[in-house]
Amino acid sequence: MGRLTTPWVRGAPLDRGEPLSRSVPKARGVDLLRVPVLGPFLRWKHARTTLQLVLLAAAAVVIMDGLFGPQLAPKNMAGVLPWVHWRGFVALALLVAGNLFCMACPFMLTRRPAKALFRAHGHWPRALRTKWLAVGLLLLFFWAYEAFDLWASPWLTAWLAITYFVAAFVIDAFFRGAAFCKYVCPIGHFHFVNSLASPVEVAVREPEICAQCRTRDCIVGRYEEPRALVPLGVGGNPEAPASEASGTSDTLETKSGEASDPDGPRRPRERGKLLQRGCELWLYQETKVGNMDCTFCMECIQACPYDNVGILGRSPARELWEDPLRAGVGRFGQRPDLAALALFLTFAAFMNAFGMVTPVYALEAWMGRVLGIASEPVILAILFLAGTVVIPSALVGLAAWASSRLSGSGTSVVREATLYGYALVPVGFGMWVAHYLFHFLVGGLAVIPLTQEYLADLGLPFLGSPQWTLGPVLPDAWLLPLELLFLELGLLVSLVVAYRIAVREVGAGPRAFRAFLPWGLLALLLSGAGIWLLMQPMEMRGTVMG
Amino acid sequence: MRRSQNPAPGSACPDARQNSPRAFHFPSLSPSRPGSGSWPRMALLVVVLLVAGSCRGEGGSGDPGLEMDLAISPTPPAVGPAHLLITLQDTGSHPLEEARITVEGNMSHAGMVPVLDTAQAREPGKYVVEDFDFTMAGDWVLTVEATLPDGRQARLEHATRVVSSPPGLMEDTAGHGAAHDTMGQGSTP
Repeated sequence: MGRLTTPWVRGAPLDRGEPLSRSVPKARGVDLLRVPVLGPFLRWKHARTTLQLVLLAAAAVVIMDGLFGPQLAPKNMAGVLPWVHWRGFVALALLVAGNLFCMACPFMLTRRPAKALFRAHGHWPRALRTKWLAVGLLLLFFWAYEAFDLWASPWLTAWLAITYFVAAFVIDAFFRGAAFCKYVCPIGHFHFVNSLASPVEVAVREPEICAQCRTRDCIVGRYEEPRALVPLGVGGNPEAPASEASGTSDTLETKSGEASDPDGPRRPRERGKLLQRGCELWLYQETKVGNMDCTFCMECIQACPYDNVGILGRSPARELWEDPLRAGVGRFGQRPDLAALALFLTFAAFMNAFGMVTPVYALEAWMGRVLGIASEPVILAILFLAGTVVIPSALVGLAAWASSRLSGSGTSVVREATLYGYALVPVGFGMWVAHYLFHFLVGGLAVIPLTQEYLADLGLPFLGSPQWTLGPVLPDAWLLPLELLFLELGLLVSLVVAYRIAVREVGAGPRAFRAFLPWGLLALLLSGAGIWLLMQPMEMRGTVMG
Repeated sequence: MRRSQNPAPGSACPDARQNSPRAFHFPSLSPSRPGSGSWPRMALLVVVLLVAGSCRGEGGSGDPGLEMDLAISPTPPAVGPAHLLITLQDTGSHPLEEARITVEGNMSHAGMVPVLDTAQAREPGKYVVEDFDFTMAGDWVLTVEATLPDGRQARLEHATRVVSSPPGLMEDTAGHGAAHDTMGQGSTP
């Protein structure tokens, strides 16, 4: 049984020449592709397109109603569907499954036409092949969400959706692969980070089969005339010149080491027609670990000729404390940009919730007086920078310094934060779930009277008069306990992850506890902040009053 | 066939997908080439055309010959019951009687159940809602719709900011505490 020694992973610093190996044993539990009805649907070649078309229809309704319909958010599809239902469903999907909303992303329907029209020859700039751009865009989004009250403006929500379609089209038109998904999309990166705690992942069923596979269809795609192992170009893309591949030759190899093609070296395009694309986020299945950068597009499932890729159950959050070399990602512990993304989204969960409780307005007013600034967007920019960058940097830096000193590991603050920062993802995810599910559970049924009114306005009153008393999905009394449950479950998982990381880094024993302690306290602090937030009086202000 | 040189373990056929036992197969509605197949594109076109033709307007503001005004007390309104006074007259300032007036209060954020009430006539041209219940602090839009016996209609949208508690008061005169809906509670009338 051969083992690959050529590094196929791209996009992250690698230990060159290090044998790729799977250090994370696969869970052998549920496989969604083998669940009755669901499995055959997901295996269907057009499953993803079907889901995307459903969300495309919803997006089109959002855009049209947002631009031309009543501008009061509760009376507009653009005010209800994205901010009440989509966010709630995203949280639920991440909690019980995985990154289903990247699977069904309608913005990706522009990718094929874009690449067909513009041929997409460009390589994503190397300097931008990190998560820093996504962090910046997320910060911009969360600030704009509050500064311009996106949730209260159907018109702005519609333009946000239009901008997303245009951005996805433009980027995918000019750059190879799934550059928009892997390096840009703020929504996708929210999903990537929070799906680290999800209970399923796309993964190989039998690693032994992959070890024998010579065609690597899951990443290069399945062709009419598959060839033996082919060196991949930059980004793992068979279309890229092979000479750009690091240290690989253009010669094909069989298991015996002889040239497999008596006519000489061939490029992938001479392998006949492409029958099925491979992974465009360059996650080679044999060494793919976890959900980071995985959009659940299922191209690998369709491409694998051995039906060896499934959607497998796993221990949620386990990938947060294990740090193998991951295809297309590298090691979490060597990716400060990834850690920054994870930490940013963790703290953003609390800032986003803070933006809708009464004390924030008192704080804004106080800041305005003290700083002499009357502009709310400027005040919010300062507030968000403080709450998602400055204060978290200080807290995480302090925890990193303390854990390094207490454990005697001697690692730098940045390195220590990069190793341990992922431990806070679950408590942040718990806060996101609590917040987004709250909105859904409070007003999820409001879509029924809204749909009744929407159709009636279009001259189709067959659903009857709007029943505006419909709103809550669950009784009020259930909400706070549920929210606290999700938040505290997140805390519990964060504590486990932090301790497991400590054991991984310094070994079991008292040193591990000392290394864990600052991070455990930080997770507790976040949990306490979350409880305080959930107990605060809500006060939602929007564009109507300026 | 190169694939036959490297059969999948336990599989007689190089391409195990062809032999994978499945209880149900969704139909292959297109040639097995990526990006080909007309039905997804057709479905896409149909969806886009249907939705593009399905846009509605903002709704009318009512008969131009009618004028309506709304006053809220206390000022600023606070969470809890409030008194609404609606004045309905024509452009010649003649009060209009026997109108059916409904008030719908929505918050600026979607997902909260609206507050619905009906105004009662007090004087010619003046209609009152005694205890309009603002269930949460924040920005509200009150939509007042009046329908006269002759079928003419008037519509008014009034934005207001509801505070958590009346300034300087812990309770209002009716003995209601300043209600605080938290993120842990929804708001239902």
